[in-house]
Amino acid sequence: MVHRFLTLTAKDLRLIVRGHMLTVVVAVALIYVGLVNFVVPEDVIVKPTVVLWDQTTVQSVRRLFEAAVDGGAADAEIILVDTEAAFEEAMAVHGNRLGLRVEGGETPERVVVTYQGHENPEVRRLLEASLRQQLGPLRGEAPLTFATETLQPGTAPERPPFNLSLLPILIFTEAGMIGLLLAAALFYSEKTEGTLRAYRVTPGGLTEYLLAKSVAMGLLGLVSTTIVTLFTVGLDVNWPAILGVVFLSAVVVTLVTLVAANMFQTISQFLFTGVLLNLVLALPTVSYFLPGFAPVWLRWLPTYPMIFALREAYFPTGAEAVLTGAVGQILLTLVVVLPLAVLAFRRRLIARDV
Amino acid sequence: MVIKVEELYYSYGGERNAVDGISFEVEKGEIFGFLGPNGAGKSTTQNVLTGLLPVQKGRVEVAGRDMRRAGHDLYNLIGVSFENPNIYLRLTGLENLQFFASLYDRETADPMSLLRKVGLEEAAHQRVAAYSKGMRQKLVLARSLVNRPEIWFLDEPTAGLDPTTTQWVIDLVREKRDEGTTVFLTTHNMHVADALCDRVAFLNEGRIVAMDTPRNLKLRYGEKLVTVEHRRDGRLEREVLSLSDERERERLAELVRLGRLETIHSEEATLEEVFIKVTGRALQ
Repeated sequence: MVHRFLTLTAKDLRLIVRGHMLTVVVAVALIYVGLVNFVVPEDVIVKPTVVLWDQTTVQSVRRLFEAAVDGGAADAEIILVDTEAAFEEAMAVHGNRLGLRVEGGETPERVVVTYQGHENPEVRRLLEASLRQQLGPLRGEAPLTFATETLQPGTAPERPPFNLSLLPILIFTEAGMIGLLLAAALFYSEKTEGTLRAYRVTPGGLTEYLLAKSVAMGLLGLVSTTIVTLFTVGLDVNWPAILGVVFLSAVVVTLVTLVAANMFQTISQFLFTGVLLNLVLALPTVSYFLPGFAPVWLRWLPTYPMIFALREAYFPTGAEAVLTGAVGQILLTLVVVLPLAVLAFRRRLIARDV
Repeated sequence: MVIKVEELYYSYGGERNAVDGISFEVEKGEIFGFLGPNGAGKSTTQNVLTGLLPVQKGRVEVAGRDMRRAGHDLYNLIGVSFENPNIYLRLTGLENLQFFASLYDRETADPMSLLRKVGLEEAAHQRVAAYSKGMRQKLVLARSLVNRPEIWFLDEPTAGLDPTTTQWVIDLVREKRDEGTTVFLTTHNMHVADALCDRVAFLNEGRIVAMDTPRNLKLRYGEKLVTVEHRRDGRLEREVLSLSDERERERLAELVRLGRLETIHSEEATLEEVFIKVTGRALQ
């Protein structure tokens, strides 16, 4: 059985290369490398909202900000508050808000900058330098004291640049979702040639047949992942975790694809279902950008753990459980999907004599 | 018996059964022809015998195995050549045979020797996409022999082939029979069946309507005819006379008695004529 599985995998890899599928995958990988390195910026400038609580009597900082906003010199929205409760409430409304608390009597003595916790160090340093420059002269000769506080410390102390933060999505898209289309193409080419029928009158079984296709697609996923990772973040990442998650994910997505493709006679009949399947399996990307959106049904999609495992593998936060949990869920899916795929193929092939 | 079929029925769900209660047996080393027009149920029967379709009703034994329970190991013993050349077009001829040879659990034939045998040695390293139809058919035949099968199923092995290649296929089948291989031949080519088969079964609308050796079928259903040429008033005349008809027998005797005969040839009915007589329909 092992020998047959290896032979089948070698044959599928040969068909992948000769069918120019490898070329397509490498080309897409290089496009992604170009996108990450040269097109997508490292940081997306979002107009910040500043919650300002000026506790001084002269309200000089408040006036300064209002003048700057009115004059178009400051690209920020200002929310003015005058109590601690109002300050906390305003900060809690949106994770993108920055707080500025000005303490003092008549003149400002101390400025406390309040962060949400996800801001990266560069942004913080830039903001603080700007504040020192703008507010420093308000106190004349006496130095103005600056302090910072963080509402949710440790949420993302080393948040990756925006362009690199797209990597899990890009890898997931190419290794997982392009695998979906290529697996279907490979399956239908065999169906059209009738070679699947020829295979059925050999001692080869369906388990080896399906596993070989999935493993071949998994290896194809490793090629694209290696290219994209190597030319964007380099060697200093958790390679075993990244490659492991990608390989297992591609295997599972291929099996799911083959089960769906098996229900249709031609690739054009499968197209609508294929696109629908692609959309459904890609839904977890929404959760990636909007972590608050993660209903239970979405988390049960086999692609959900893949994306978050990839994020943890690329940008470790120390949450090992995310990685191990995801790998466990992917393996569990594999254990469930493989026998179902074999059963579905057996019923369909024998019923239709494919 | 290496193939035993009892009361086999198969339905695709239509009004009529594709196979409608057929029974037959094939002995070891025999070339058994399964003949009939398109839609008669030949391929369905072969697909059930090879496990591509399930046994719905009836009993089928191949190589001593009940096809309802036969495992994958059966395929180590049988070879199947399909009507349509179903081979990997992006692989070379040699890669195709090497791949299929690696799937068996028994000693297989050397792929290159097989290619040599079927005359594809020079094209061994060419991708199959560049092969002609005849070359592809030869490759399919070679593939079906890669596991040195004890039972060889051939589905229309000469369909669309030129006369030279057809004769080559006939010689190859005879050679394998001489080596002890049992051959189950499905065809609507009566010439091929007549040239090859030890026994044939005529299949019509899912039923076997006649089964015997080609000679016996021709003797039983064919008309015994004699073609004679004789001279009358210096002119050469040709007549076909039936030996079953008393008046025509007397006419033949008269020609012999008068000593005017120049040539005389007995004529057998062809299998095709027998088929038409038995079923009332042509093969094509």
